[in-house]
Order: sequence, then C-alpha cells, then structure tokens
Amino acid sequence: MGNDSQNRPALPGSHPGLAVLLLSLLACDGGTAAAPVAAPVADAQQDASQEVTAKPITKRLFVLDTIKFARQNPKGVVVGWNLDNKVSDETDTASCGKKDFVSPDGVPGIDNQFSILVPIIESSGIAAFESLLQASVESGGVLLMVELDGLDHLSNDDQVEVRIRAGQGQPLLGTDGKVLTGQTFHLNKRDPATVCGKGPLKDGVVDFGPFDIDLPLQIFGKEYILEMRSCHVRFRILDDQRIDAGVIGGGATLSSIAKIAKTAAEDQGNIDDIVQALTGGMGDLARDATGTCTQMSAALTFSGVSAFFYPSELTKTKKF
Amino acid sequence: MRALTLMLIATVAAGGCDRQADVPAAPVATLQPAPAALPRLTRAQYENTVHDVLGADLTLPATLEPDVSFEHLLTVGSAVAKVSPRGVELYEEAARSLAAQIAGKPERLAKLLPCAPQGPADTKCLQEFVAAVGGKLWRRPLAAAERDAVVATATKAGAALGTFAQSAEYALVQLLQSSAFVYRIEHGEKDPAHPATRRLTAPELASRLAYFLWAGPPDTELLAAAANETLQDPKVRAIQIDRLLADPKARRSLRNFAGEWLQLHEVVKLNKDPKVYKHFSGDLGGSAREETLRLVEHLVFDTDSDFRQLLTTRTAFVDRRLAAIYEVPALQEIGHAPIELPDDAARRGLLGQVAFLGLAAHPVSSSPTLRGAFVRRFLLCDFVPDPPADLNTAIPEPSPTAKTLRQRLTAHMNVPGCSSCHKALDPIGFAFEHYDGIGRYRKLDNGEPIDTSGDLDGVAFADSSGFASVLANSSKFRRCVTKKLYAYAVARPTIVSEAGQIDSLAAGFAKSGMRVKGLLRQIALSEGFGRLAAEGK
Repeated sequence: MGNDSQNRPALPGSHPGLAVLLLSLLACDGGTAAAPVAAPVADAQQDASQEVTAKPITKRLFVLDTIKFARQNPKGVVVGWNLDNKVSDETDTASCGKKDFVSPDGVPGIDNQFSILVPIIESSGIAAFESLLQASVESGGVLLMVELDGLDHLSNDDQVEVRIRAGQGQPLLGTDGKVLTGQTFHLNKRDPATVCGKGPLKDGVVDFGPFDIDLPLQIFGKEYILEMRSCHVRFRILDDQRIDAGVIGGGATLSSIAKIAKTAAEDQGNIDDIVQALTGGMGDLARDATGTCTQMSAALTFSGVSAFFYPSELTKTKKF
Repeated sequence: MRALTLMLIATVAAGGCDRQADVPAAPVATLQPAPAALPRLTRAQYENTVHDVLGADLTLPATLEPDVSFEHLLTVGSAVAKVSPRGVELYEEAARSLAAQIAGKPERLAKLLPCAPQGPADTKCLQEFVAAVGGKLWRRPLAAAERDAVVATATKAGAALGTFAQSAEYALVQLLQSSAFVYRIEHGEKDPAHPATRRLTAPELASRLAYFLWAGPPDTELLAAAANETLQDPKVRAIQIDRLLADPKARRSLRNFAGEWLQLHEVVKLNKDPKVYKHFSGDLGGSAREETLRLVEHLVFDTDSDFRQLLTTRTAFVDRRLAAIYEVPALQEIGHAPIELPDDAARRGLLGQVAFLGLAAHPVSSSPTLRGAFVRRFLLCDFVPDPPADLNTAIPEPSPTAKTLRQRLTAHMNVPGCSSCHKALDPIGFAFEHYDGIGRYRKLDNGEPIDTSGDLDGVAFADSSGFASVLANSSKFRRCVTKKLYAYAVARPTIVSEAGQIDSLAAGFAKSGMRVKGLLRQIALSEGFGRLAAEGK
C-alpha cells in the first residue's frame, strides 16, 4: 500500500529538496494556446491493438516510466512549447526579458527557461537530479499517468479525451529495473484527473493543450503539489503497450516552487534559500501587475507503459 | 536406536502405457484388482500427518528422501521409488527432531497425553500414550507386542534420563521411524464377496480414503469406523466419504493432486532469462502455482462446476504480478483475487496461465513442442517419449523463408527422426504462439503475423481458445482426468486390467456433468479402490 521512498537511500550528491524543485518542469503563462513545436515524432506505427482486438477500445492508461529534463543541444536549441504564442527576445517585457529558444526542427519561440538551470544544477554537483527524478518514478514518488478515453482505435480516432492522472504505491519493477508494463496502481488521493483536451488521434500521436494542472509528487515521503499552468502534452502510442516521444511543457508557478522549497526546508536546512537563488528572476511567463513574471517555463520528455488503477478506487474525472 | 526397517518396493508398473487412454468406455465386467503396493508417504503426506497428529506448530524437517514422479504423479512414484541409505538417516533425523520438539515443550506433550504421568517410569501412562499416538501415526491399532516393544525401550530411556517427557520422546522417535509410519502398508485380507481376491482391511481402507481425500491421516472418527469394521459396509463408507469431502482438508488433497498432476512443483522453480523476460521475478513461479491451485479449488469446491471449465473459464485468480503479465487490472495489492478475463481475449483457463505457458517453454523463448508435449502427457494421458539422447534437437535459425517459430518448426518436421514426435506435438503448441515464453501476449513473432490454427487429432481449431474448447470436449481429456485421479487415489501405477474400471468411472464423470467432487466420491466407492489381487499375483 505504501511507498518506501522514505527508506530509499539518497543518491550520491543528491539533495532531496532540490529534487522537488527540479520537478518544476513545465512553464506557464496565462493560458494562451501554444504552438505545438515539440520534438518531431516519427511515423506512428499502425494498429496498436493488443490481445483484446474485437471489442472497441474505450480507455487506456499509461504510467510514465522515464522522465527527463529537456536540455539545450546545441545551446539555444531545446524541446518545448511556444507557450505564450510569441517569439521573445531580451527586450520583451511580457517575458520579463527572457529570450526564447528554438526547437530542434527550427521553430522559434520555445519557452523553456528551466533548460538554463539544468547545466547549472548539474555542474554544482549538489544533485544528481535526473537520476533522482528517475528514482522517484521507480520508487513510486512520481507516478504520473496519461489516460486516453473514448478510444475506438489506437492509431487514428476522430475524438479522444486525454487526462493527466496520478497513481500511488510501490511499482513493480522489471528485470531491467524499470516500471513494469501492465501493472495496477492505487489512485493517488490527490489525483488531478485533469482533462488535457479532446480531439483527434492521428497516426498514433496525441497532441493537446493548454490545460492547468496541480501535480501531486512525493519525494522522500513528503507530499508536494506543483502547480503547472498552460500545459501542453504530446506523445505517440506504440503497438506494444507503450508510449514514447512524449513531451510535456508548461509554466510552473514560482509560488508553488517556493512553497515546495519551504516544506522541503523543514528537513533539508537552507534548501529554500538555494531554490530562491536558483529560480529568482527566472520567471518568463504570466507577468503580473507589478511587472513580475510569476511562472517559469519548462519541458520534460517522457515515455510510458500501460497501467491500470485498482477498479474499486476509480473516481469521477474532474472536468476541465 | 536405528532399527528402522524400510522395505524396498517390489511393485513394478506393469502395463503403465498411457496409450490405454483411448480405450472406449465400457462397463466394468470383472475387475482384476491390482497387486498390493507399498507407497511411501510423500513429502506432503508426511507433513500433513505430522501436523494433524502431533501438532500444527511443529517445525518440519528441511529435507527428507525426495519424492519421485512416476507416470507424472509423485503419489504414484511413492509406490515405486526406493529409499536411499541417506534417506533412512533423514527419516531418523526427522523423527528425533520432531520428538524433541514435543518433549521439550510441556504444553505440546500435554495435548498428546491421554493420561497424567505419575513419575518418570509410569509404564501404564506410557502404554496409553503409545497406543493413542501410535494408532494415529500408524493409522491402525498397535498390536500389544508392538506397543510393548516401544514402551520397553522408552521406559529404559526415561529411567536413565529421569523424566517421563524423555520416555515419551523416545517412544515418539520409534513410532516416527517405523515403516508402519513411513509407508502405507496394505496387506489386505480375504474378500468375502470375491474369494479369489483380497480387499483392504478396514484400517487400510481408512488410511487409503484419508490420504486420497485429505492427503493426510484418518481422524478419530474414521479410525473408529475402521476399528469396528463398519467401514467395510458401503453405506458407512459412503457416509464417511461425504464427511471427508465436506471437510476443509479435502481442499488440501485436491491442491496436492493438482500440484502433482499439473507439475506445479516444477512451476515453483520457473526460471527465465531476465534479459529476455522483464516480467520475470524469483517469486513468479510460486505465484503462478497458486493461481492454478486457486482455480482448481474454485471449480471443484467453491462452485462444483463442470471441470471442462478448467480449460475454458475466463475466471483467473491473479495477483498484481500475474495481472501485469496478463495485462489486466489486479483487484488488490497483496495476494490473489478472482478476475474475469476480457470476453474477446483468447486467454482462457489453465492453458492461458503462466503455470502452463511459462513452464512449457524454454528460458528464452516459447516452445510449441514443449506445450504440445505438456498437453499430450498431462491432459490427454498420451505417451510422449523423450527425444533420443543422441538426437540433434536444434531447430533451424530464422531465415527469409522461415521467420516465425512455426515456420522453423515446420521445416524441422521434415528431418528424419524428428518428424513423428513433432507432428504429434507441435500442431497443439502452435495454438499458443501468441504467448511468449513467460505467457505474455504478443501480436507478432519475429515481426511476422502468427498462425495459431491447427487440429487436435482431426478436430480443427483457430486459436488457443478454440483449442481449449476442443480439448475440453474431448473424451480423452475426461478419461485422463479420471485416470490421474484414480492413480492418485490408489497410490500406485494403474494396470491394464483396470482400464474397464477407469472407463466406467470416466463415464460416470461425464454423466455427472464432469463434477470432480462427484468423481472423487465415485472413485472412493469403486471396486478398484478397495480391492487387491490375491497374494502372489
């Protein structure tokens, strides 16, 4: 029933509080529609049907089994979304003077301020943060799911609904150490059940947004909520019970990051100061009346495997 | 005191050829009973006997003489296996350990004592103790001479060591080392109804009934019915059979039988290449074993269902790990719970379980040959010889013209020396090619579509669920279940002259709608169950 993340040893050089911060992957702004310019997705495979073939598919759930921070490569080029639908440079006051990036396929206007922090945190040596994030996935601390509803076909469908959900519990791991396909999870009591959007599934690719979401996370036994705004998600359904080429981006509210850091500081000393130092002035979205950008853009890449919730725990979905 | 006389078995499996499975049903004309055998307690029976008679909290020995399978049943193997010198030592060590556990804990000993000992050398109380406990362990009353021999040695030990508990300990050591405990001795007696043959004595009948229906020793009531000879009365026997079947211990025996029949002792040791099968874990075999046992128990005792459902049901008892392999939601985090597999999935019953799909496969791949052999051997009771030792069993590597395992095996079927067996086995196994070597569904084999069609002895099927239906409705399956249960009941290899008895039981099984509980009752009441060949035959 539980999660043994409290008992898991910290990774060498890791800083739990920072791990929480690092989950602020998504940037946000006031809710404008973003241009979907994430990493290109290769041609989707056809007919992702599994053993159950005759009955119309209605619902599929996938748990994210790998999550990585989008990195600039080369400098200035990074996966993400044009969350504010504009191309900003250092003179753009709406973006608090933050210059946008370019996507790998050359699309300008990508908002991903967090990609600037990634090498800084890595070089500081204070957190093997990506490993820590992955360890949190595999220990059940970060059990994020995407759910597709109203599916008639796993490659092409006129209308499907996509939701972000959250699970809970200790995942079963495969012999490769990764979250095992097809397993069942408890529903997180703070399951956001947020509808990302309704629309077509084309060539196995899901591409929806914007949506706001409050993500429940559990790091070293502590629970946190990361507020994400104006998020976009894109992924591809494969025919072997997996999804890949996933990108999710949005704006993490700096207030929720500060709150997380404060909670983490109860156990981790001056982590809130470190977080403040790292994120201060990094906001690039949702500029308020005082001229302060209240959100920081970010993007994550992910893959996932099929999963289920215990049937007795399923609840109604919140409507977006 | 190492005076243990463990008799070696002379009984040979005469006529054990499973090709008899195809014999058409016929009424039992004149039963030619089988000669007496001398089955040794299997490990499970030993454990159950110790726990039932001496206490459920006793720690059992880690090692005993290993069980041996014969005609694919451990209980039958117990009648033909010999005991090694090391095995004798192990029985002695076990006896000493169990006796010490009882004597060393006054409350344990007090539960077994029928009297209050009046000092270390209370011979009368010791006699009562040996008669009471010995009668349960040996499943028959002890003759006065037997009792006195045990008491004499134990009294000496008690006198030397100074406590009654130590007298009792030495008595227990003797009782537990005796061949009367380790073996199920069946001498028989003259049969008034069939003077040319013999029948089990009442205590032997009680013992056979109890080990068949409980996988353990007879209880006080059954021993009493044996002691007053009423058990030889078919009506009393029927009442006792119904009582035994209504007891929870009947589930224990059914599980024991299913474990032997379906090779679940091998499933526990399931091993797969972790690089190939990410869903493999060290506890998967145990989990798969329990799934099969739960299903059998459910069909027989919970619902008293048509046993064909063993092959066709969509009910599966899965834990979280098995559910992940089957790609279905588990119902609970810990333990097995029943779920209904999707209507339109091909996975059904026993043949959709890891216990079959994983066991009858290689560590790195599926195996239509092994799956076909499993079905033939255990579900159809066909004789399947092992491949000759010098035969090259390697199948062709994938090629542009033979990409799937089916295509490769089809090519292999043309190799002289291989074709006869592969033609009998592979077409069955092809039905399960949508399941990999651990039992996960796969749509393609080596990137190619999978052909699961075939025929079972001339009856066509399209896929594994179709095969399950064909097999379930096969008279050979019905007879095979009957034969396996009958052999388990009599604890020895069946013989040719019992074919009519088995056919008759199979016919009754069909008439009952294939209710196994009914079949258990039929077998326990059958002529063959209680009769023996004349001495010397």
